[in-house]
Amino acid sequence: MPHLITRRRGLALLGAFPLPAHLPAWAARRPATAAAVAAMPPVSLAPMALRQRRLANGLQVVSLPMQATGTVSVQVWYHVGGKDDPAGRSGFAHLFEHLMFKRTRHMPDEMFDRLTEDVGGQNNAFTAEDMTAYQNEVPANHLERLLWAEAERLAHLQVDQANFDSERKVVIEELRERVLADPYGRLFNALPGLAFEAHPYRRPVIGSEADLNAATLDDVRRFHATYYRPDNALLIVVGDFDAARLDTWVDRYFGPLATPAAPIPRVQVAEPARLRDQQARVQGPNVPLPAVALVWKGPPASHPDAPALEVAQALLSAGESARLNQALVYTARSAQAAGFSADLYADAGLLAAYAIAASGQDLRRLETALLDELARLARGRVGLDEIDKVRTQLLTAALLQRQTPQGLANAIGMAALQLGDPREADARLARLQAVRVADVQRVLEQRVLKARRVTIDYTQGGAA
Amino acid sequence: MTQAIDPRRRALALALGAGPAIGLSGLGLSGIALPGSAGAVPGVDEPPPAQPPRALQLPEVAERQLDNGLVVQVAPRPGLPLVSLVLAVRAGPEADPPGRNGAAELLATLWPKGAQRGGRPVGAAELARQAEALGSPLDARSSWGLGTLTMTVTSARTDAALALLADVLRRPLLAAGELDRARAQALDTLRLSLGSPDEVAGRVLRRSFWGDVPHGRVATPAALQRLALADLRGFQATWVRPDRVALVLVGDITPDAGFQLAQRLLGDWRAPAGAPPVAVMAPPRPLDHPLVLVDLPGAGQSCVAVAAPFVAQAAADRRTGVVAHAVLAGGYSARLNQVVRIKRGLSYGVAGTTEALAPGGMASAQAQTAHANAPQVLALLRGEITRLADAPPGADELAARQATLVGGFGRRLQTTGGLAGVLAGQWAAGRPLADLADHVPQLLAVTPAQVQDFARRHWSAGALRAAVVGDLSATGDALAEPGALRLRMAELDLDEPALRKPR
Repeated sequence: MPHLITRRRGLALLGAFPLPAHLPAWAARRPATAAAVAAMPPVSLAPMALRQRRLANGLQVVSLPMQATGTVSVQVWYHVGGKDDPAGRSGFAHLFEHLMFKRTRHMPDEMFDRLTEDVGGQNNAFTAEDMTAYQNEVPANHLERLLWAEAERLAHLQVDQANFDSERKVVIEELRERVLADPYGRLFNALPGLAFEAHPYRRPVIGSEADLNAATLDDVRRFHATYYRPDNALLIVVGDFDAARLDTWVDRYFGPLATPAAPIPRVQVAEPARLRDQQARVQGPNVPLPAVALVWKGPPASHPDAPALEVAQALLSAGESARLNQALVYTARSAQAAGFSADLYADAGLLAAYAIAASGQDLRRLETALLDELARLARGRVGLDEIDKVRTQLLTAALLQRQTPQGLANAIGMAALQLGDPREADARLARLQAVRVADVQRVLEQRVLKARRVTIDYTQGGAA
Repeated sequence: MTQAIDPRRRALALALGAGPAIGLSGLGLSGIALPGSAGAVPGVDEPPPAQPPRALQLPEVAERQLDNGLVVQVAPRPGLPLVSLVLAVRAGPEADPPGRNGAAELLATLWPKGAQRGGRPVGAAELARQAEALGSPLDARSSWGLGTLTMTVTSARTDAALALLADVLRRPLLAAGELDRARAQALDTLRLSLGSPDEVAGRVLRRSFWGDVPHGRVATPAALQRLALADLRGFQATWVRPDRVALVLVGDITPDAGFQLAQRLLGDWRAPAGAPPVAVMAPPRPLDHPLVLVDLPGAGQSCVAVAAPFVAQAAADRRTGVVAHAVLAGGYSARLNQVVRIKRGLSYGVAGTTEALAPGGMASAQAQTAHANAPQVLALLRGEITRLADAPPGADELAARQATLVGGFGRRLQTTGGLAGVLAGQWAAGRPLADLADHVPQLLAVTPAQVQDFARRHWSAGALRAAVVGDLSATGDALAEPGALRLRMAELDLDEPALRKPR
């Protein structure tokens, strides 16, 4: 399951590739003090008491009351993402996300900032491969106002040419900041296009400057009419609220919204298996240390292999003691950073192993070292203490996320849009805890070691 | 449940909603009037009114001091089985010995790289594995006036986590091999950051604004090369002593349990004889050049950064300064982002920060933009900062920015880690626990006239310092202003007071 970066009006991209500074991960096969740790009581997590409804117009509503937070998270997740960008309009879903903060029938530009930030709340939004999410948190007494406003922009967005032009400039600035100014931005931006051969996932969610410049106001109107409709949306409310009043308000503001008769277009492309290994080179003008990335195709998020891949990711990359960090960064000192990620989307996935070279290191040796570590995990001995460590890490991370209304709403939204059911937020945690070493070894063997890959060298050179 | 424990304990349960504190609807914000909204129907063509505000509860914090001077703060938070632990040392890079920049940061890097545990040395790999088996990274960092070791674990692992943190802080191995490794990695990290315009701009701005004083120094490759194990051991021996350390525990733990745990694992730590040392510090001594330009050929964007004077840690008008800064840079809708992003689309966003440190403070703002737009963004940032002295915020604008500050503070208190960070920061700044309860009321008491007065006193054009880092060949001549210092990246030397590499 991808791990999102959400920034203000940002987009979830490259989530599995944290900046080198915080890189992760392991190798210790030391059973030493494990006994004390293993004796700890298992961590348990109470399931979320979700309330679920579906309105007659198709809107899905999930809510979760939380005591004494003083705030409430109000989020609307739409089943539309980068994969739905129109042809020749890569980056459009994300550009559109920015426009949702402009005027509506009854709201002036930036009214959402008045309704959130100006009363002590916050708003944000992100666009990912499969989804676009709008996320607000406000003092609990402002809940009704946010429901009104989200219904208003779902149904009555009004974008004019001036707003469109100005926001397109902002999005292009965002693209340059993420892709061009970041020394490794070009590498990570190139991965989807190299990993996928047919599915629209091959276009980066941020898109291209040329495609963004080609977009028109007509595209905006068409996109809103096509995808922003009650039966394509999930409303999530988490925090300090009265359930009966919430239901009344949801009926009042969202109930009257009409659902168009036309069906919602869905991407039907099936990603084929890769037939042969490939090599690729990507260059940037300011690459302080070269890097290598290996990418494979992965299964969709709902595939039974997904939990084992997520555990493999944690064994290889989660924390200082994770295998790739211990072997490449700590012991061999051949890499400045190294990681493995399983980015599993709704229709297909992308598995990647990568390393940023330490000064003076050769990329071929780094590639071999990455593959050796993957093989060692797939075929060597994995101690119980190591798998236990990863289970504890994953569960602790889930608990951390559940401390806030926004964190809980995120967990619900990801489960609903990628796994098809909000209750999967709890179920996937249970599945993660049940993953065995043999499962991890089987999926790595089949999907990585015996699968075809693309090897990408990233080096200094060329201009922009 | 803790009444009998300690007379120093402060109960901070303040129902802020009752007073002016969180009563934001009382500030005229509950029913924002829209243009042309006369006769509008709430809930139909304008937002429905807000409900009555709820009270925000500040956490209860119990505090006591162990006999060795170590301060223990415990904030119980029932609910999820999580505890955040912070071991904090009141010393940071400002205490680096002269010519030894980077000692505090490198020491913090080495803390998790080995410690004596139960009478035997435990190396970096095993230590990381022990921490992560408890579910948490062992986070070590050093910032101005504060070094921290932090973990967040499930409650059953609290004792084991504190035992580990205490060993790491009290008995680090500080091994030569680990220093070499950490130094090599730090040098590579520096190389990475020197390819990034915003990283370079941030460093240049610090050097320009603070000048050649302890808070103006940054760790450079040459400085890292100079550091020896003896420097780190010296820093550890001088500054890491129980009377300069605090333990903060937040989450699923009672004050009783927290105090007992602290006594058991930290109570036998003896402070060295003699009073704790005092760091020699100096107020900012800005560079003469109001603008430093650094040419980074091939950079994807330019970064424009501006610094302005800010208050010192103990200044009486600190919260006025915080509110004044918020009018400019406190959130998406604040003035700087309005003029740069919202009105003109020149940048993805303006980021603002403040630091109120012992000898003085710095407020800063920075934005990335296309090279050709850098002069315009620089003019806009400078113009908005100085304009505040003539254009104080209106009542609605001020109330909105105050609400943003209060809301952000409230959200930090939502998580165990957020609250633990707030408490450690307050302790490091020498503020009593009661100061936390004053925070929101004092922010909300600031008036437009006070903001204007603050801006007049601190934010004149001559007091600003700026840096632009990017591909200057694509920027044009508009930045060639009198007094500007222009350097190619290869000429930049952050160890030199004048920033230029000696020829």
